[in-house]
Amino acid sequence: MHVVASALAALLYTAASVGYALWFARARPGAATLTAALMSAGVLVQGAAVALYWTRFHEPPLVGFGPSLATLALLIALAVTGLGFFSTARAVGLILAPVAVVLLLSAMVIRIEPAGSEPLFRGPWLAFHVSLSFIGYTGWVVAAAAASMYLLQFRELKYKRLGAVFQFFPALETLDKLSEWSLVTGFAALTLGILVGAAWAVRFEPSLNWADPKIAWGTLAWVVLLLALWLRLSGRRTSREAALWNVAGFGLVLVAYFVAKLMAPETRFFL
Amino acid sequence: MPFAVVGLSHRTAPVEVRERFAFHPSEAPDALRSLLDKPGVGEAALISTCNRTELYLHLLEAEQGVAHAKQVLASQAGELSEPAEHFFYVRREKDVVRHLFRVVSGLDSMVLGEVQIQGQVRDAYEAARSLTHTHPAVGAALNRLFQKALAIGSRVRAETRIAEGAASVPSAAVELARKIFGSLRGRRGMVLGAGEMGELTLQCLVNEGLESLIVASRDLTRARKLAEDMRGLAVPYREFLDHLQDVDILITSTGAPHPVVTHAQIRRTMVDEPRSPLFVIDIAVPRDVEPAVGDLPNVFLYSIDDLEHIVTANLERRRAEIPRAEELVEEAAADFWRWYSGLRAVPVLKRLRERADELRRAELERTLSHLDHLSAEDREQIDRLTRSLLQKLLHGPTKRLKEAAEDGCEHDVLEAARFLFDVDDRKGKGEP
Repeated sequence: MHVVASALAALLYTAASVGYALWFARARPGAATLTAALMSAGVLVQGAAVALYWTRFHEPPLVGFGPSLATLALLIALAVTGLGFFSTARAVGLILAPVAVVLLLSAMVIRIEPAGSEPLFRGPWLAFHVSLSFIGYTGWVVAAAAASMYLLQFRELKYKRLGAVFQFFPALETLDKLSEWSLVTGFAALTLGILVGAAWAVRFEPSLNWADPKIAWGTLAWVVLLLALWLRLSGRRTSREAALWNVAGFGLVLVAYFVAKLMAPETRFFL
Repeated sequence: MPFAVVGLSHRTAPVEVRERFAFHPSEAPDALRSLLDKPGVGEAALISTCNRTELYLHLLEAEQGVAHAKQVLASQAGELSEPAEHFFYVRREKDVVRHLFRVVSGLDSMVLGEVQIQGQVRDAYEAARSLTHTHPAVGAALNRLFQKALAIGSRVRAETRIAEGAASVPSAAVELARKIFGSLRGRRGMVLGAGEMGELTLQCLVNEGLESLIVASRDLTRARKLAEDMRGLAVPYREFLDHLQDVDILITSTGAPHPVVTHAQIRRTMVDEPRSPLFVIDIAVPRDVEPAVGDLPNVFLYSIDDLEHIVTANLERRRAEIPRAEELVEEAAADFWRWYSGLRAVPVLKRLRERADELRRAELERTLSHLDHLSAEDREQIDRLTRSLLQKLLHGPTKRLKEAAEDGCEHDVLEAARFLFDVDDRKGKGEP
């Protein structure tokens, strides 16, 4: 049943993504309300899918590659729904809604099932570690989406090409604040997630294996996120430069993720 | 009862005439009361804006009502160089519906698609609705007409791009400022020189929440006056550079023959530390700001030409939406007219049903008087049976009469119904 519910949620997210595209293209100026409703419905349905998964497997969908991707999709969809309440920032869904679709569809292809029965990968510590880390990644995804929209809107305004991007995208200030807030939230959650994860892992492995792609990638992500946050908050760079660093850093970490996945072909885990 | 609208607008009268016909909101109730007291006028509402003055009427007697409406408008204007009649237009029946729907949608506005008219019509409707008089100024017909008009106005703006984008230079500047800073609350602005367009733009930005205003002008008296009006600070022109670092928006509108704001000056204000964006609006001709200023990293420079291009492009986009907007208006007007025409069948239907029920009761009474042996329950059953038969029998004619009325061919069909069923709904009443 959780698979059917997930498929329905994916369908609703897809419909919402189409709604955002139509809204952006001004083909359907009244699509905003419908889009928000579709996204909210998708979140509710995927929430039900999580509950069904939990009931069936007696654990939250946090362990295993498929469940992890599905949970990340839910968090991003939740962020889009939350932003939908702020009319000045809701257009960020144009980028985030398709991200949620891709993640959820990927999860379904991989299969949304628990990775295995090792006791090592169970328990509240792991749930905290994964949940906090995912909230951190979601914050960063939102920040990167807002930063990339900032760069596009900046370009429109600077070069006086006042087309669809100018009309649809939020104000520079709104995107800048959203990016900053998401970076702060994401960094705080990811740091906490890493600390919880480290405290939990040290019981099994007294010293960290830096060659482990999971650990190397997680550390890289944290360092790049810290750098992006520092550039944003230090006041030494303009908002545009901070946005550029944010997007570039996010891209670097994304590329590193795929490299890490190639180095560790085991697909059961998020890494 | 027919609909009519009597009025004048920017299409029929110049501003010096329109202002004579304009009603202050406090004058409108008396004008409506005097009109409602006149014979032939059933319902009335008055719209008065700087671009139009119109009386919407639902009349008991068409010509008499229109004549009274013209008198009310003419008495507001007083003596004119030409007869008031020359500026008036009169529309009737379905044209009234189409006209109001076009007005609310901004299709009849001086600035195509402007949004203020929606609020102005809503205010006019509310004012007429809340009018206390011997009978309501707005009854079933105008009530529905205005509600549908406001709904179609919103729909046209939601489903087309007719109201999208700024339609004047000052509003283009406001739109750009909003896209850079979001809200203008707490933002600081400076105006250099005090030309008329600069003042207008400044006023628009202040209305949007711009705070901490500095006016720098060679004419310090004029600068002080403008600063006072806008609750800002006037400074001598030579001091403007000292304040440049503190502002988010700079409007230049001097009459200088060469640029007075240079690349080097602006760059200096941005050297010490990265600052929030600077939006420079150069409304002067010749330009006050060196074009190279626009190359600075966090500076958005827009000249009067840039702003005019934006306005032209927006108006073109708006014009391209006219066919779709007209289509929506036409569709809504047809829907309204169907509903309104359907009302014409109501008195005939009401009389037909009354007459049929009278016959049923009489026949039932006569029959039951011969059937004393029937129980109360049996009598109730027979009563129900006759009512049910009547309902079924009248269902078809009722539906078809309504449809005929909605389709506009009610006259012959209603006459036929009156003749066939021997009903007369017009005794002592006017035609609806």
